[in-house]
Amino acid sequence: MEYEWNVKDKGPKGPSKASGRWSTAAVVGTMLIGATAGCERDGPPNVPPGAALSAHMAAATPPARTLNLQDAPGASLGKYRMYWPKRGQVEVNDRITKVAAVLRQKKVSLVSPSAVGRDFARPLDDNKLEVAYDGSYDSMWVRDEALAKAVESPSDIGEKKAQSAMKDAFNDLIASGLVESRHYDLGDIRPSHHYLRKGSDDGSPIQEMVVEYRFRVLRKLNGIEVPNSGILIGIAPSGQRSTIKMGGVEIDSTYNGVEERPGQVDSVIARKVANADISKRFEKEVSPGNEKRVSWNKLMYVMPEGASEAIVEPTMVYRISDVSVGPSGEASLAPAKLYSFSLSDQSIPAVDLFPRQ
Amino acid sequence: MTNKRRSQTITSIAMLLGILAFANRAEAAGYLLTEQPGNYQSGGCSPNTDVPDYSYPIRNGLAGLGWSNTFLTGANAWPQDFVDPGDYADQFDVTVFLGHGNTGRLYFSTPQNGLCSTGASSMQMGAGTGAKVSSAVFMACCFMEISHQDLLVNHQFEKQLMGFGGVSSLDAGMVNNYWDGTGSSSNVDSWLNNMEDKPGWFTGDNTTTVLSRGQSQDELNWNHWYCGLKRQNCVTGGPGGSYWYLDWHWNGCGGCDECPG
Repeated sequence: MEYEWNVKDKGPKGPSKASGRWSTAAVVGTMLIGATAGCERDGPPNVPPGAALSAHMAAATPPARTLNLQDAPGASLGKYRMYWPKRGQVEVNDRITKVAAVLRQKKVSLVSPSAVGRDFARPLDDNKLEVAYDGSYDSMWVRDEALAKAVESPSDIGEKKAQSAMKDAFNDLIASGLVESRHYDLGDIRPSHHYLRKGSDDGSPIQEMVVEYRFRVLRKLNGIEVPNSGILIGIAPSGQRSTIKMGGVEIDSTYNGVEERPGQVDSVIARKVANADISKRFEKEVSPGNEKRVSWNKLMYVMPEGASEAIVEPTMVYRISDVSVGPSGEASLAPAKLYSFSLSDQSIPAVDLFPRQ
Repeated sequence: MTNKRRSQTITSIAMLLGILAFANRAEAAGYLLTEQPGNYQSGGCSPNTDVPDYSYPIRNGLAGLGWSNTFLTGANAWPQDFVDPGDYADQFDVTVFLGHGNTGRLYFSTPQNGLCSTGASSMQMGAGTGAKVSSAVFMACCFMEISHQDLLVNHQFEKQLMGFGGVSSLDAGMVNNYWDGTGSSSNVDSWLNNMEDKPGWFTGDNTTTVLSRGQSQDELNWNHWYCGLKRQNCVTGGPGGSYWYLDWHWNGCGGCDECPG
C-alpha cells in the first residue's frame, strides 16, 4: 500500500521545541504526554502514562537490569515479537502530516491524497514537499525537493551545526509522538551525507559542496541495533530541514524503567555461544579458506527476510565481501553479503540475510 | 569486435503497442553484461564468489519498452568489450555491467586473450569514433571510488554513469526500486536513494555514486535531474558534454583497495 500526497503549508504554528528533548528530560516529557509509538506497550496496560511515571518515580529502587550483552554463556537475552505494521490510510495520513510539520517547522495539511505507488519525483516547486510511503516496510519519506536537490549553496553551516539542527528535528519528532527517545542513541549517529562535485573538462577549478547533511540512527533494543527500523534526518547546508525518512518494524515490548522487556512470556533465553566461537564458525562456514573483507560485525536484531511477523533474538551479524585473486594477482571484490549467527544455538547454520531471489 | 559471435544474444522484439508508444526509441539498444551464478567459480578469473543475476529488473524493463538488448555472460562477456578503441559496449545506447569490481576496475569471470579485467582509464566510455553510449550502470564494488575521481571524470563521458564508491550490497529489490524510480524521477535521485539500502533496511549500506554530464551548464542541470532509464530520458543520443557533476551518498569506502584512511 503506497500513497503520495501534496502537502501544503498551513501556518506558523508548529511543534514546540521546548518539550521532548532527547536527553533524559525527553523521556519524562514524552511519557507525560503519553506519546507512545505504534503498538509498543510501555507501562502497565490501562494505566495513564502520567500515573505510570509517578509510580515509577515513587519506587524506592528501580528494577535491576536482567537482560545483558555479556559475551559469556549464560547471559540473558530477550527475544521479541517484531512485525511490519499495517496502517490504514487515515493513520498514515496522520503520521505523514506530523512528519511534514516537523520538517517544515509549522503546521501543514495534506491535500489531494492519492494512491499512485512509489513515486519520489515531482517538478521542482518550493511550495511542495515530496512525500512517499512504502507500506511494505512502513517507511515514510518526506522531503523538501528543492533543498534536497540543490546544486548551489549560498551558505554552509557545517557538520557540527547541522548535527545540532538534526537533534532539534529529532526532538520535534519526539514531541510529535512519533518517536520514543529511549529507542535511539544519538551518540551513535551515522553520517551519510550527500556531496556534489562539479567541474568541466576545460580544467576549471573543481568545486565541492554538501547538498545535504544526512544523519542516520537505528532503533536500539537495550543497546542492540535493529537494522530494520530507523530514522534519517537531512539538513540542508543552510540549516533548514530537508528530509525525514523513518519507519520499520514494530517491536512488542514493555519498559520497566530500566530496560525493554519482551512483550510475551517465556522470551528470555540464555546465551550459549561466545563471540570467539562465532568468530571460528564465521571463518569455517562463510567462504571457507578464502580471503574476506569484513566491513563490520555486531550484534543485531534482524527481521527475517520475507516474514511479516517473527520472534527475533539477537544474532551476530557480519557484513563481508569475498576477495578473489585472479591470474594477474589483482584482487576483485564480490558484492557484499550479510550473515547472521545464533547466540543461543551453535547448531543453527549461518543465515544469509541477503538471500538470492 | 562487432563481428563477435554471441551465443547468448537475446533480441527483444517490441510488441505493437510498445512500438507505437516508443516509436522514436525503436532503434534503442542495450548492452547488458551480467555475470551469473556459476560464472566466477568456473570461469578461471576470480574463482571464489559468484554474483546473483540482479540486473534483470533493468533488462526486463528495457525489453518491455521495446528495446533490443544484447545480454552477455560468462565466456561471452569480454573485458575487451569496454576497452578503447572500438569498444563493443560503447556501440549501444545503454550499458549495464554486473560483476566483481575494485577501485576503478571491472572484473570478469572468464579470461579472454589473457584479460580478466579492465580499468577505467582504458575504457573511455562515450568517447572515440562511433561511441554512442548515453547511460551506463556499473553494479560492481568500488568502481566509482570517489578518491579516484580522475578515473571517472577524465575517462567516462556518458550522459550519466551510475555505480558504487565502496563495497556494495546488492539485492533484486534495490535494483527493482531503482528501475521503478526512474519512471518518474531521475537516475540521480533513484540511484542515490534506492541503491543505498536493501528495502526494509535503514543501515545505509552502500556509497552510491552518479556522474552526470552536459554540453552546457543548463543541459547538465537538466540531465542531472531529468535523465531516467524508465522515463526514457538520456537513453539515446550519445554521450554528454564537458560539464559534469559527481554526486554521492557517502557511506564509506572501507574494503576498496584504495580507500583513503
